[in-house]
Amino acid sequence: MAFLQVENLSVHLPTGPRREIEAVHSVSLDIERGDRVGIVGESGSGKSITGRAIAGLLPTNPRVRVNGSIRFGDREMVGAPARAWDEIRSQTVGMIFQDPSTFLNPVMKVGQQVREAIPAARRSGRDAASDPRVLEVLALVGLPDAAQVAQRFPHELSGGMRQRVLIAIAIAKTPDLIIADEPTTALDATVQAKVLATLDDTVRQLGTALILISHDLAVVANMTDRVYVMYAGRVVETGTTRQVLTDPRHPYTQALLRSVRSLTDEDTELWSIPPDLRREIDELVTGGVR
Amino acid sequence: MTAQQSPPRRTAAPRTEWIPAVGGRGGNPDAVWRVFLRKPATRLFGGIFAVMVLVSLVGPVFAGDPVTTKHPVLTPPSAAYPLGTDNLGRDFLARLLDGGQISLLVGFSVAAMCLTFALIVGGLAGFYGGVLDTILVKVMEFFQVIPGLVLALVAATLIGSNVTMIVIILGVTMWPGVARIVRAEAMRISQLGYVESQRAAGFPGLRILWSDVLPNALPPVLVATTMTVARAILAESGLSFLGIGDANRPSWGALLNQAQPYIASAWWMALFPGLCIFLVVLAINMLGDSLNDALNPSIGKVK
Amino acid sequence: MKAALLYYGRLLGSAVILLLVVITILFLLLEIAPGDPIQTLVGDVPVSEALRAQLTASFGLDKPIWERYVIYVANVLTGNLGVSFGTNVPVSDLILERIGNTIALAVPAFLISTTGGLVLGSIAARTRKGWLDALLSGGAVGLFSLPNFWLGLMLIMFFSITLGWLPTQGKAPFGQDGIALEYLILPVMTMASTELAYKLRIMRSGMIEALGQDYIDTARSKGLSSNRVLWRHALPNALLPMVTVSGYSLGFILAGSVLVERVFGWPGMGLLFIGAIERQDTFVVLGIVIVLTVTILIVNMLTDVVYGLVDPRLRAQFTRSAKPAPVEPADATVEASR
Repeated sequence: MAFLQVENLSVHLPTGPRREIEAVHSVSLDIERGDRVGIVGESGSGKSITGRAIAGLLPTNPRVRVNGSIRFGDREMVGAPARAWDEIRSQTVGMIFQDPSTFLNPVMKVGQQVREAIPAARRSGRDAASDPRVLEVLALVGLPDAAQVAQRFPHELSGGMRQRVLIAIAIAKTPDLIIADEPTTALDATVQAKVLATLDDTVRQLGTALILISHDLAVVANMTDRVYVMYAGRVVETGTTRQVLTDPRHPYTQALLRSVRSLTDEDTELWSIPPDLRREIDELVTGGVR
Repeated sequence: MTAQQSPPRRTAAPRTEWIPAVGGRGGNPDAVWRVFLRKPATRLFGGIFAVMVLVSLVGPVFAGDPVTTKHPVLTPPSAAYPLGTDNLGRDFLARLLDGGQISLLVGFSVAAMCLTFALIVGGLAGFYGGVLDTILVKVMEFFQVIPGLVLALVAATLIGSNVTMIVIILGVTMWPGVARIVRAEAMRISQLGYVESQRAAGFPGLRILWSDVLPNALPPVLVATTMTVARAILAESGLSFLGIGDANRPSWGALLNQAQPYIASAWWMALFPGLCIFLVVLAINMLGDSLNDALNPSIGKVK
Repeated sequence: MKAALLYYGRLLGSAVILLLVVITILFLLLEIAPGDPIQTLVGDVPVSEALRAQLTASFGLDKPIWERYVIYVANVLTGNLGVSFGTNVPVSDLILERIGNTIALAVPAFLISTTGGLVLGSIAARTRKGWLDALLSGGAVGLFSLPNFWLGLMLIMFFSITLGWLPTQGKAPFGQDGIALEYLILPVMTMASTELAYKLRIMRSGMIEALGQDYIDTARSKGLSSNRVLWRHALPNALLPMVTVSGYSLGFILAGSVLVERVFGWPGMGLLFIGAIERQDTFVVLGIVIVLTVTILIVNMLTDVVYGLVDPRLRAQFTRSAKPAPVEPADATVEASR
């Protein structure tokens, strides 16, 4: 039985007083323990929503509808009560978010925010900065001055450090799965590389499964073994990363790859994807493309 | 892959909404206006407001003379005198309607004055920034520190208490509130790319301010101005309750002042003027709220 | 440390300047006012030339405007606020007599409106029962649409006259010196009403906004219960704007005492002020305005200071002494390139 099995997932989100949009349509994935999987696509492809749905972190607006199946082992999560999700999020699934400047509580010390992520340590009254579990996790993500960092508030740290804190928060519970939603998009290019290296290291050391969501093909190429390509809320192609990126079958994937320019390309026109491919995609999908 | 545009499928595709070049405030003006008008709150309170304004404007013509004292003194509401008579034998309904004209007139005039000052001062401060901004902010702070009511009382006593003076005094004390909002919006809009590029292209600052910055700053400013009308009516009623105002044309607050010695014996004198103030102010506040909702839609509270 | 001193120094400086400007404007208003000051001083009695000369000299009315201004400012700053016309009682004495009564109304009103607003606003923000939120929210709008002095009148009509439960006027039974509780209830309620409504709305929108922030997602991703997310993450952030709002509200409450004291016949500064205005007792009027402005300036300054200490993003300016900055992670570019 797969560690995580997602079948025919669809998510409807409200966009106005009487309107909604189907952000995710009929998405299926499966993840085994230790798998490293990427989800790529452009903005609006539904990849973030898929990631959040798996972690149960969609907006709590009652108009949000989730259909299909999300199973951790034999545990069905779609329609599960809040407490079940709380448990899953406490132990099994950690999430790393995109923007370190807004995803950390500005009035709470960093050490305390990390400690909260460790279920066993949550009730501890001691100062978080002296809790060895917190210090250990911070050191693991490459923050050597852990005691100092733990005493700080988020605004006192640099962007790269804050993102490492977010990683620390995700791994502090030693989860079985980490979902990283565009973890480096908000960072400078130089810092991106460092943070990705840290993430890679950490995941390898802990043996966690990883779902890496990104629009950046290079990032996904380096860090994943398998990849799902999404467009307009649907999975359009999937396979091993190497296969998909070197020999794409689906026109969208082909287009995506073609629009990436390497530093060595000269004098070639920038290629761009025509505006709306949904009809074409649906035709192709029903025509039996993988 | 064909390069031609295939028509977008209708199901599940969000309807295209024009997002103005400026910071995505609301949607296009037409849509906002329609949303506003469709809200039940708008209809209910807009109706109440319209009725009260209409009655105040037109009522006095039909209601009879508010000044004659020939009616019996202190009679409770009855068929002959729908709102009773006051301590000098005047028809209370007539007085109430007449008072409405003053209260509403002051309210709107003050708001208009506030809007004007606020647009000028706030717009200049937010757009130009720098030293000018610092000075103007100090000026705004000054007016906000002094309790408006107190200052208004002092000024009214020393300078005079006819309607014009009251409007001026209230306008002077209340404009900073709206100015702050104008300034904040102007600052936000001035930093947007297309304003910067206009400046770089050499367009005169004042022209950019007038034709681009201020019009886009209007939505929250309009909401604030609406609330200012409400606050002005309340402030004026407070002042006239304390005796500041034209004795010959008492506003609702002044009527309440006259009613105070008689609250035990003539409940109608204290009830109705205040009720009118309450209804008008409530209606205006609710309309402002409704407008605010229409401008900044949130898709339900996330808890 | 130096940063802190500069910050406080600037706050103080602004306050002092504001005070001077207020005093100047009041002085100018006095100058513009029509009417004969001597006649006002003396009242209805006709003034003889000798008396006029004497009074003019003693009040310094014959000196040029600049001198009078300087004398006036100097007097104010040393606490001499002049004397009341007619009774010759020093204004400062009059104010000291009455200020306690006003504070007795203002402080409970402040406490009630702040706690009430906090609690009810939080409930409105987090309740899933739409009707409760609509009730509280709409009720708040209704409450601050009321002229609060009218609310006072209605409360008197209902509780005092119709029901007879509470007294109508004054602060204590005749002859008694202190303040009796049943006399306090209605005025305090009246005074607190508008502010409570306002704070309820601020707290509610602060909470809603905090709950929509990204860090709430992070908190949820840790598997924290929704209660814990609310109290430990949303609430502290929602309280920040409440600090400033509450602080400034004290000024509004004090200013509103004028109306409330009038309705309830409460012998505080507000009533003193009204009386002085009716009698055109200029020094009393100005004295009260100055005391009020100074109080508000102090309160606002304190609020700003407290806020600076409470928000960690600002606190760093003051309390950070010699904490060294944390070390950046070691350079990993070599390992990162594959």
